[in-house]
Parts: sequence; C-alpha cells; structure tokens
Amino acid sequence: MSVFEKPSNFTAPISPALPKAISERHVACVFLLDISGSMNQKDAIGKLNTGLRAFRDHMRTDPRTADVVDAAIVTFGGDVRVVENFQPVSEMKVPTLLAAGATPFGEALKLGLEMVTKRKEVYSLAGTPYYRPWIFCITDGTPTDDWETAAHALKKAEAEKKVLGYCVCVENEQDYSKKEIFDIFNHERILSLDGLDFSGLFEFVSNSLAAVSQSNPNSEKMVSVAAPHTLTMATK
Amino acid sequence: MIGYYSLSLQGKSHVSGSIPCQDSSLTMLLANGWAIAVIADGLGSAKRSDAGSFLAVNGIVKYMTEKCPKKWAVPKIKQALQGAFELANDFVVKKSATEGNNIGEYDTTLTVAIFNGSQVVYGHVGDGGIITLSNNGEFKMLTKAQKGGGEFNMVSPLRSKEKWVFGHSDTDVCAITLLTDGIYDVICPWILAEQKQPVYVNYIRPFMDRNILKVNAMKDFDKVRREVKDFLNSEYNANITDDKTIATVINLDVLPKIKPAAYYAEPDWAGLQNENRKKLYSAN
Repeated sequence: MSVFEKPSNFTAPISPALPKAISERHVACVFLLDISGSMNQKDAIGKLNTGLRAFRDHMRTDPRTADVVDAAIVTFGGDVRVVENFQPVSEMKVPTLLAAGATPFGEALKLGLEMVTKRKEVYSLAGTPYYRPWIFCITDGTPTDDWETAAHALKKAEAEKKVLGYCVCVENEQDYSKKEIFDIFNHERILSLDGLDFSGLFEFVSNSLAAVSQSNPNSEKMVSVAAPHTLTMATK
Repeated sequence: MIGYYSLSLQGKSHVSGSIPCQDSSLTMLLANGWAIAVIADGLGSAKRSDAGSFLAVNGIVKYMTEKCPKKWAVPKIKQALQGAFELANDFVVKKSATEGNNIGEYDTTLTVAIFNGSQVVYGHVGDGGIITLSNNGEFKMLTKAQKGGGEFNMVSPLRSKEKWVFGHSDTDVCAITLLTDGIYDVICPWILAEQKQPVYVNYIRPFMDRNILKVNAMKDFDKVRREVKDFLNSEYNANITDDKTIATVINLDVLPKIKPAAYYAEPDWAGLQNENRKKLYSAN
C-alpha cells in the first residue's frame, strides 16, 4: 500500500527503516604495536597476533560498527612500518607479526599522529562526520629513540581535544619501568595488561570503540566499558 | 486558517543518563492570527541547559505577544525578532546571575518563526533549522545549521549574538517545520548535503504535507501530536538518541501540489554510501 492510501493522519516514511547512512559517524583508531625483540618472550608476539584476529572477528559481529570504525596498524620493532592503512574493520586484513629489533616508540607515535591528522582531513573532504580519533599503543618496553618531541605533540593534540592517546603496558618482565610511558601519555589512559591476555584486551578495545561509535556526539561524557580483570590502571 | 502542533521528547541517551529533556518548544497564534513557533535545544554539555531553553522560549513568546507588529512588514518583524532574542538572552543572563552560575551552563540554541500562512520571518542561532513546504510541493531548507566541523560538534548558543541570523522566505509557503538537531540531522543528513535535494523528503513529508497528513481543522492536531510522538519514540527512530523537538505550522486553506513520483523516490542510500567509501579509502 502506498503512503498516499494509508488511513492515519500521520504516516511513517516509506523506507523500511531509518537509513543507516544518515547516522553514520566514523571513529579512527591507529594501533601502534610494539614488535621489538622482547615481544618474543613468553610468545607475547604470538598472543598479540591472536588478539588482533579476535579484535577483527569481534568487531565484525556488530554490523552497526564494523563499517564505521576505521583501524590502521603501525608496528615498531627495529623500524617503523605502516602494516595496514585505515580500513573499516569489516575489511581489515590482520597481518602475522614477527618480533625483532629495538623500540623506536617516538617515531611510531609521530607517524600515528600524522596518520590521524590526515585521516581527519579525508573525513572532512568527504563531509563525513567523525568522533575524536584514538591512538592506541601496546608495548612491553621503553623507547629507544627520541620520544620527547612526539610526546609533546601528543600532549598538545590531546589538550586541543584532537585525539585520545591510550597506552597498554604489557607486563612481560618483572620490574618493568614505565617512567617514559608516564611522561608520554595522560596517566588516566595508561593501562597494564597481565597474563598476556591480548584476547581480553582486544575484546575490551572492540567494545569501547563500538560504544564510542554509537555515542551521542553532543555529549562530553566518556563512554565506559567493563574491562577484563587482567587490564588495570598502570602504576609507574 | 492556521493549524499547528509541537512537542519535545526526551532522547534515549538522556533517559539512560538520567538527564532531563533539554529541549523546549511552543507554538501558538498571536493576537493578529499569525502563528509563532519557537524551539530551543539546551546543549548537552551545559549543566542547566534545560532551564536555558525554557527561559529562551518564554522570553521570545513574552516579547512577541506584547510587541509584534500588527501589519505584515518583513523588516519590522525582523526587528521585533531581534528584540525578542535580546529579551530571551536577558532572561538567561539574569537567571545565571541570580543563581550565581556560569552563563555557559544555560547554553541553548534558539529558532523562531513567524508565519502568516504564506511567508515566514525567522530568527535563528544554533544547529536546529526550519524546513518549508511551498504551495507547489517543494521542500526547502530555510536556514543553515550552525555547527562546527570535525570532532568538536561545536554549536553556537544563544549568547553568541554575532551568530544570530534573521531572514525570511518567499511568499508561497504553505507549511513550516522547525526541528532541533536530533531530527534535523535526519531530515538534512550529511550524506545528502551535496545532493540536488538536500532534504530527505520522504521523512519530513508526513510531518507537514497535507496530502499525507490529513488535517483540516485545529481539532485534528491532538491526534497528530500523539501519532508523531509514537512515531518519534518508535524503533524506526532508535538511532536518534538525542532529544527530539518538532514544531509544525500549516496553512489549512492550501493543499500543496503533488510533484512527479521521482521527487518522492528514496535517495539511493547504498549508492551514496559507496561513493563516500570511495572518497574515504581510495587514497590508501
């Protein structure tokens, strides 16, 4: 029956549901993944690979978010590489990462910041609404390069509400000093991962990104998602 | 004869966050028979914005009921609206001073329309807007949403006097609808912004087109109001989590022309999304 023939005063539109495109708002997340040599201990790198696949698979189960969360992967271990540029997680290809080399953290952070800035330009040119992007770093070490400049740039971008930087410290060694990490990131967004529970971590990240992608852009309230017991606020 | 309805509904995100409906609205006839429609959207980031939007609407109505010109003259009505905006802002400023709170805690948008059955004069600040329906069946955006780009979603509030805009429509308008951003962003979505028709006609049409909305007298609008409320609260609109306000005024003596069927065709959402995807990922 066409809308013209329906008998009520007010008649809902003829489309079967509110088109998804209307409320689409993207959130970009660049993962900075430490693949330095120390990630070979206790097969942390293998568990990281498993966790990444779990992240992709978990995100794909939610059709509301799989097309609006854009993920990129940058690795740092010896050198810094863009392993995957921004793609919707529905089309994300998960690499198998190998660990080797030092920890050029500063260079990776600099690249991550450049990538989210460029991503926002792409969104703006396309007229696509977006949430504040994330830089999500996972590391088991301390920087072996000049990190101060990148840290300053992150602080400035965060103060201007242009990005949110998170860091997960993988507790792979006893007495892991996080002094530099605490100099780089906002202390409220530094987490500690025990038991190499990368699957739990990535499920948490997946749920958090899904919650952000469905949140009210007018609200300044941060979304909160239950974290696994292996993920806690880090201490120096 | 002019008929009207308006309503403000608490959004899903406000219900779950125990936040009151921060929108306010009012539609009525002035003594001279013109309609006035006022909507205000208290900003989500402002703690007392429900009070701000309420005061803004009341300031406008008080001023316009007392000082609206008696004869239709666009410049004089614009001038009156300017005065009404000043009073609305004064109401908010005084409240914040009396209660010792920062003015920003009362931030609200404000959109006002005076309609004589064929022409609209409006005042506007913020990210809501006005859609008009002309006698020949065309839907148009009368205002531009004032919304910051990027991740900030910055909205111009009432206290940003430099953002106040006053304007008017052509003289062939038979219905107007004022909307706060919760619904306005559905009716004028970002994905249609560069299209020939930036208004989602099929969505707005049942709210204001008498070819669909079967209203002939003011008594019909109570039922319309209930039905609109049910529709806006329905699962169909589950993705709109913000507060929702709509105010519609219709000239009941005019039945707008029906356009060719293509005018009412659903936009090719999938095609538009694909086009957007190409823009987003082709540079990789």
